[in-house]
Amino acid sequence: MILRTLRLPAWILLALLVCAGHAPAQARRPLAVAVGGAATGWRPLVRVQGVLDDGALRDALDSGLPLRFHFQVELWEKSLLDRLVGTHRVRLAVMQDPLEGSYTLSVGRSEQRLGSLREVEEAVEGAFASSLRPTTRGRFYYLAVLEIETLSLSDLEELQRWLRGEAGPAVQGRRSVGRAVESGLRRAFVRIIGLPERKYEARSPTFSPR
Amino acid sequence: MRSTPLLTLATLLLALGVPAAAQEREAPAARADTLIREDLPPEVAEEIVAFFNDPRTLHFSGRTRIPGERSVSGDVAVLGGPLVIAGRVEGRVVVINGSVELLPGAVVDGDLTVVGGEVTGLEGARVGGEVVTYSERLRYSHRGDHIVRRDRYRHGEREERDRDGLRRGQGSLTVSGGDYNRVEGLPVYFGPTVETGGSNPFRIRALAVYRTEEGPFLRTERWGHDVTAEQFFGGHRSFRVGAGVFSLVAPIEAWHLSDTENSLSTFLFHRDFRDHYERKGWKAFATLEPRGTPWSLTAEFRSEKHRSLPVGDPWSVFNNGDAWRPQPLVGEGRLNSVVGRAELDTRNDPDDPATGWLVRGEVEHAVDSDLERPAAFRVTLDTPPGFIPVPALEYGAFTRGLLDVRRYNRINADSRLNLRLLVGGALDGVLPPQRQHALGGEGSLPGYSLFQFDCGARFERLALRVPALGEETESFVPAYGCDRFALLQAEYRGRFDFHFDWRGHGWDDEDDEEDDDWNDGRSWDADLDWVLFMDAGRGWAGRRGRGEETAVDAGVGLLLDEFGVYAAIPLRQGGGVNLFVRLGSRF
Repeated sequence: MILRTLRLPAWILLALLVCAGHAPAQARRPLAVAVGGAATGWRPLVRVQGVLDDGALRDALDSGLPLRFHFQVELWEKSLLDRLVGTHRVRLAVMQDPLEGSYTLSVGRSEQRLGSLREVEEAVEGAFASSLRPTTRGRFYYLAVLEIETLSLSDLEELQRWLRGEAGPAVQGRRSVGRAVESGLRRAFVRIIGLPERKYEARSPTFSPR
Repeated sequence: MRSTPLLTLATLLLALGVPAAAQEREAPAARADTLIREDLPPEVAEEIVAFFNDPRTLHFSGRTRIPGERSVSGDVAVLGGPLVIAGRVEGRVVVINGSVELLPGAVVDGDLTVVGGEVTGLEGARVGGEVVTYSERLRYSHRGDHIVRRDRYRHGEREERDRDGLRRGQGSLTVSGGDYNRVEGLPVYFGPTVETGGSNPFRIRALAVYRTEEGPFLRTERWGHDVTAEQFFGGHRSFRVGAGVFSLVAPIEAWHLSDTENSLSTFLFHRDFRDHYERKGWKAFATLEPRGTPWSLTAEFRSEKHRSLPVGDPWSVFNNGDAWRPQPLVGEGRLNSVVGRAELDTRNDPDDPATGWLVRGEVEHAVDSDLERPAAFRVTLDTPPGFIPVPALEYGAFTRGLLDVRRYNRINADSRLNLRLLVGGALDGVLPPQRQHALGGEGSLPGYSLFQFDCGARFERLALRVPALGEETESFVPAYGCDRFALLQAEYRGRFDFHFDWRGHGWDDEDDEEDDDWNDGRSWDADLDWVLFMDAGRGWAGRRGRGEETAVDAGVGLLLDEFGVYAAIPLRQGGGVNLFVRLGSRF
């Protein structure tokens, strides 16, 4: 067999670069989703444990950089082709007060002051609570995705807009192209200087509401 | 080499931010049971007021508590709040300008709607319907027992709104790189974007383009522009009309690979997967994109001039000394055309879709065209090469279409079946090269070489002029591809879920008996997707000559997030394995 377009050194270099960016995402999974059972209406129970034990994320927080959390849990019904029943999305941000050492958890326009990282994790877990649940009989499962992104300080204004749900696509005209390009450049800068980002996925066991 | 490599590299890195921004797309509204909105739409405000004024609704005002042992039958409206629910409400709940705290065990059988506040305690409560919160407060006044919505802009607030609108308007200066290619090198875009505030903003973007290739430093060939002005109507940015003038180098086909992939391939490996031509002219368009719907429609009129462009000599990391692949000669001259575009996007996640449709269609009708391939010289293979005159080739009016239909399906939690049908080409007339289609290569049929199915477009070389003695021949290929094509792509994606758990109980298989344990042993996971794919494609030449046989290839790939390493092999016409890398999903 002929490896027609194999350019080994370059591809290996590229692969290493890309994998280096993703390697931390392979760490111990801090996101878990279980099914609450009949007593809770078969809602998803999301647990976030040790997400802020990640040294890189904690360093970013300690440096005063905000962490942006984007959480999504989907309810799927099993069939020949699985059917998406519903989606619940939550976005929030965590920042550290450099003087007091306390943390601020922002969801929408509301803010919560917290004293420790453990409290932050508990609050984040609470914010992820969803009333998503199956309303028909069948076999279901939940899929959850948590993306954490470190933002540069210049992203703060955008962060506020994002939390208020104002971020929209530039390509479809619902957002300033200039803003989007600026945002893209800032993000490219964030990538280049190596600020951490993480993506975690979890799924529940299949369950059948009775 | 005419450009500075380090400058080019730095600007290319900046340019990579642009696709990232362009991809920052809000997911289409999937069914969500909890909705948090910033603004309070007028129609919702009216419904809230009507709900409150309904004589069947139970009214409360100020701090309100429903004790744990208490069950309230019927709809409940609270003005001010906060509302604390420990018991049960057998109906809908609306809280106006206040928050709701749900204590553990609280039950709301119907919808829970909060205006100007928030909901806490959802995790320990049960809400039978939708939970919707609007951060914006409701502006109202009392009329006896009723409330009346106050128009936000009455009572002399118009000026305030105007000032607010101007305040919320924004301007920015854009400096960014475009797509690195073998014609322009790196196009650098810079210029202002100004947008007024309000729900119907006016936006103008005026970008100049400086190209690191093409012509002497200060000559006009180095410069281009892209100026677009748009006015939104109807609120919510659902409808807009606009016009623009442009002078750009455009790819003939851009769907094979992403901009980032093609830029990197050109910059790193001296492989530009696209062919390009110059477009200069103006356009006027109208776009309808109702908010919250998955579809959009665009109608556009274009009046433009096209021109063939030779390859430049941009720098690349590897194989920099190699010759670049020649460009095609395109139909040159004026083209006035009407274009209609439609899109339907029901994907659950545009970046990583697991279910839904993406359908894109485009039809272009040339209402007036004097495009012609210029007279040229056929370059013989002799040494030194001979030059045989070839007359100009006229292209008349034409109508063409392109339809891209994709379906994403989740088979189970770990696997997906994705399908794509792409068809396009002439509906009437003969297409000029810049509207033709070519198949083959990593972006379409990866088992085959780049543009292997081009209906003989690259069979020979043409030159626009006979070179002087000792001068290198600036050669072109006579066309780009086929008049019509069809491509079917299918892929099955699965997941290797490497799970190492030294406490001995990992994640249950999905078909195991029901288990709501946490499975929380300390463990290490590595999620690696795999993909099996197959493609089939064919091109037709129309009246121009030979068509192509149906090509079929198959392959496998390993994906780490968006980064994928693939191997493809042709199943017809023979050939070896092609090992390649993609930086995003294939479609």
